[in-house]
Amino acid sequence: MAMDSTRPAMRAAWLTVFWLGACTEFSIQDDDETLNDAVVVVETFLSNPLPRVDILWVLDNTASMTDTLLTLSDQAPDFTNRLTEHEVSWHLGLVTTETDGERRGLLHGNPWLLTSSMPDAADAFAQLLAVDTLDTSLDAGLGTAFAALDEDINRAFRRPDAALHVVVATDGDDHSEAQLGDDPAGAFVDELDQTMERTGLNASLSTIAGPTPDGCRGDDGSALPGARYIDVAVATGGHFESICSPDLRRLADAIADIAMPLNQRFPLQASPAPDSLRVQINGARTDTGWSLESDPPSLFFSVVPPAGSEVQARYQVMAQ
Amino acid sequence: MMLLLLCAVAMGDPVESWDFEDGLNGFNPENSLQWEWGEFTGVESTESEGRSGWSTRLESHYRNDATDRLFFPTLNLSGLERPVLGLHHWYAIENGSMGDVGWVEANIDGLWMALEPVYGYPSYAGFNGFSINWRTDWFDLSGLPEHAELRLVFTSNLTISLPGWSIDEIGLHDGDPVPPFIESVTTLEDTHDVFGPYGIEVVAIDDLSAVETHLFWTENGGPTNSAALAPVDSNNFVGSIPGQASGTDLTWWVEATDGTNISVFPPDRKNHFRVALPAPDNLRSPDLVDTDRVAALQLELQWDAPAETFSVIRYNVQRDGETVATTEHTAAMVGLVDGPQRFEVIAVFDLGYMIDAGSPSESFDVRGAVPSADTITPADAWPGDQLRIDISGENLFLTDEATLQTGPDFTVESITVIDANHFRALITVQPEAAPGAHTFVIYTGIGAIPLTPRFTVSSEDLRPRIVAARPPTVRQGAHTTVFLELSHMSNPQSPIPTVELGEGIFVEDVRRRGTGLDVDLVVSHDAPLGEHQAHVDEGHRLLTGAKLWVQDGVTPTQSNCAHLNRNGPVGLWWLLTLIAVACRRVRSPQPIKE
Repeated sequence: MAMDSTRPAMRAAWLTVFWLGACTEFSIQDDDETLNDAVVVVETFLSNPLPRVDILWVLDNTASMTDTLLTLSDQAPDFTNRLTEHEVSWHLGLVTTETDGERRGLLHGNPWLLTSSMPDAADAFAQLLAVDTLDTSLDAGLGTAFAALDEDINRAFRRPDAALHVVVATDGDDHSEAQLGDDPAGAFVDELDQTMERTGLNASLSTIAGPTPDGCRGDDGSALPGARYIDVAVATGGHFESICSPDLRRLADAIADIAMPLNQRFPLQASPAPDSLRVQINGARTDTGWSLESDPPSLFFSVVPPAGSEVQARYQVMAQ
Repeated sequence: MMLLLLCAVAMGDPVESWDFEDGLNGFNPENSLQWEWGEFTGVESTESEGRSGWSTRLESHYRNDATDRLFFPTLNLSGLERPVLGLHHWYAIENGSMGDVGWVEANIDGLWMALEPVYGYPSYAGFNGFSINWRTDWFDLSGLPEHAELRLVFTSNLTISLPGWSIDEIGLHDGDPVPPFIESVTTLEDTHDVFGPYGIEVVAIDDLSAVETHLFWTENGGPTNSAALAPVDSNNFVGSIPGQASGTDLTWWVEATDGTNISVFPPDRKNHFRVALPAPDNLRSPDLVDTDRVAALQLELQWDAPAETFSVIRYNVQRDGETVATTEHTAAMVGLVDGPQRFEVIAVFDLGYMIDAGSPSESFDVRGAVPSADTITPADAWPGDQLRIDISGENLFLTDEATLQTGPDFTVESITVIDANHFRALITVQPEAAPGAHTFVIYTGIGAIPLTPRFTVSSEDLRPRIVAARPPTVRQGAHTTVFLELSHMSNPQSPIPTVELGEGIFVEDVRRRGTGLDVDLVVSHDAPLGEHQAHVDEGHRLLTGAKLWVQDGVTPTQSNCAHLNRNGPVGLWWLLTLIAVACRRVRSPQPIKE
């Protein structure tokens, strides 16, 4: 009985201890908002990571190009500096249409593979452009480019995650039937299309050539129309620059634009709850042109957001 | 034996001469179909020749099917003991029995008769063929009238026209101005014979006197040596140059004298031959097929041994003239340098009495690209670190096949190739990694390339890490901000680090504040309870060290627990008070109910 008389007090004491002990688990020193019904996540993405492009220059080095090659060589720093301004990670190699016995398609020069990480890349490119001219006239620019893209010939020039851009500088037109068959332009476009399919990245050709239909005449001489090169440039979305007044900065701008991989897919941190995903591009809500992929969760745009845009995804997290 | 044309020097001053520099000098062409006076255009003249003279047409080749004669002024030979005419001329005239030709005629008793040169015409008809150089031919005028009439005759057939015949100077001499004629001299070719001697035979004649001949030579451009050639008979002479060491370039010539005049062969005193042991053949590289370029630290060269009787004791491989490898075999690995370079191989022979080197092989030109990896960022770490290191260099030709060998103290988690000269590797430094410098090696398709800077593992316990998460606990469903305190101040210029807190915690924003990061986050309702390792990715270094606890989403009762907790010491005081009251009540005597 005596023991019984003590129970209410002891019970109260132990209850207090238990209670306080339990309270230590709730010792949260915060003032956060408590979300009972849903967790809302807001993710922001910036489009366009550092674009990568492998640039193959094909130089017509027949004797008539002597002065033009000097002009292009003078502009070499403009070209590389412009690419640097565009924050492009580039590979650059150069082949000549006239090879003087050297194996066709071998990258010219020493070093023969230039990269944007090389400190003296501009000078090295200027030296590449100052090639010797030869008194021959093969003018098989497309065939030469085709050979140069063979990875067995020019190891490490092509990167699997880089766009491809071929630049042909010439004062004539292509004569690659011996290398590419009856339709060299078609064969080359097919090759670039297959490259795009394989890599998912742009593959195109730009040309510095004589305009159609009459060619041109400039300080460095005259040029015949480069009709076949222009056809390939048009078919692959490339850029045309007149050989009689070339501007390599303009060409670099075009290459940077063309090579820019526009992001279509943005991975999300979690699976959004059904119908909870809201998307903004540059602050404006958009409900079309995108879809939600489930595994892994990602936002896929069928209409690609513009270069440099900010994409925001806001969604509730779906319970596991 | 080499048949020679007349090569002569050192004649006495003429009695009379005509150099045609200022005019016709009294010479007259017959019909000007061929002979013209003026500046030479189709023939190379040197300082020893004048610029002007007579030529069978100056601006073009001579006419076909035309004959012209160039008449001398009348020569006064009176008082001359032995009049001799010297004709300094050059010609390129169609030769052959039916070809074109030029010759000298004298009027003897009203008849024009051909005059024969002292040593004869080059062909039976006269001057034709190619003189190559300017030359002097001599004509003995003894027996002609005191007032002699001479003329040069040039005639051409219907076909083939060449530059023709050019007359630079004509002199009338008295006595013996005519040097000996060196008719033939042995030709000496390059030879592998280092023992020698290198025999020489000379045939020399003179129009009046006995001839003496001498041989002169230099070795590799050194001082001139000479030796008298021994006469076999009055016109034939023999002699020799002694044996020479391999690699000796010899320049030699022969002089013949009649005591007054000297003839030299060759006129420029520059006959050459080289004494050299044979060269290795077919220098090549299996690394270079259909190309002249190679990206590598070293290059394998192969060659064929020289086919010669002497035994080869070694080969010296030279790059741009410097020996870079020595081997007894017909292959060697040689170091490359950047840029164009030229390789040659030289065999070294045991000749029995001496060791001597042979000629260099044909050169092998290479465009070299030597890979180097000279930048690693960051270059140091602490045991337990996880890092992204950037490695770059030149001529690395990186592809996705590239690997990084780091040794057992590191684990390479992944490699990402940025470009052909730059890649990024995610590596983990083992907790037990040995402090000190470690050498990393890159393996690419072009071989193993050691990283020049070494990677250092620090022994001090200063590893950058996350010191604490404040608050250390979040609840499921919370939308809050956690401060991650770092052990160091991160570079404010570098990009904002990214933060990961594990499954169910979503990071919405990260901001720098002081030595840490404010992390806005959302905790999902089903985020796993318990500890979540915090990861801060600074780009190159991945930091760990603190955990964030996730608790269940039950909303605490703010009126008791939170209040007590906020007043921690007060709550404890209340607890002790309650316990004390309870205990006092226990000790008090209580009536026992029956």
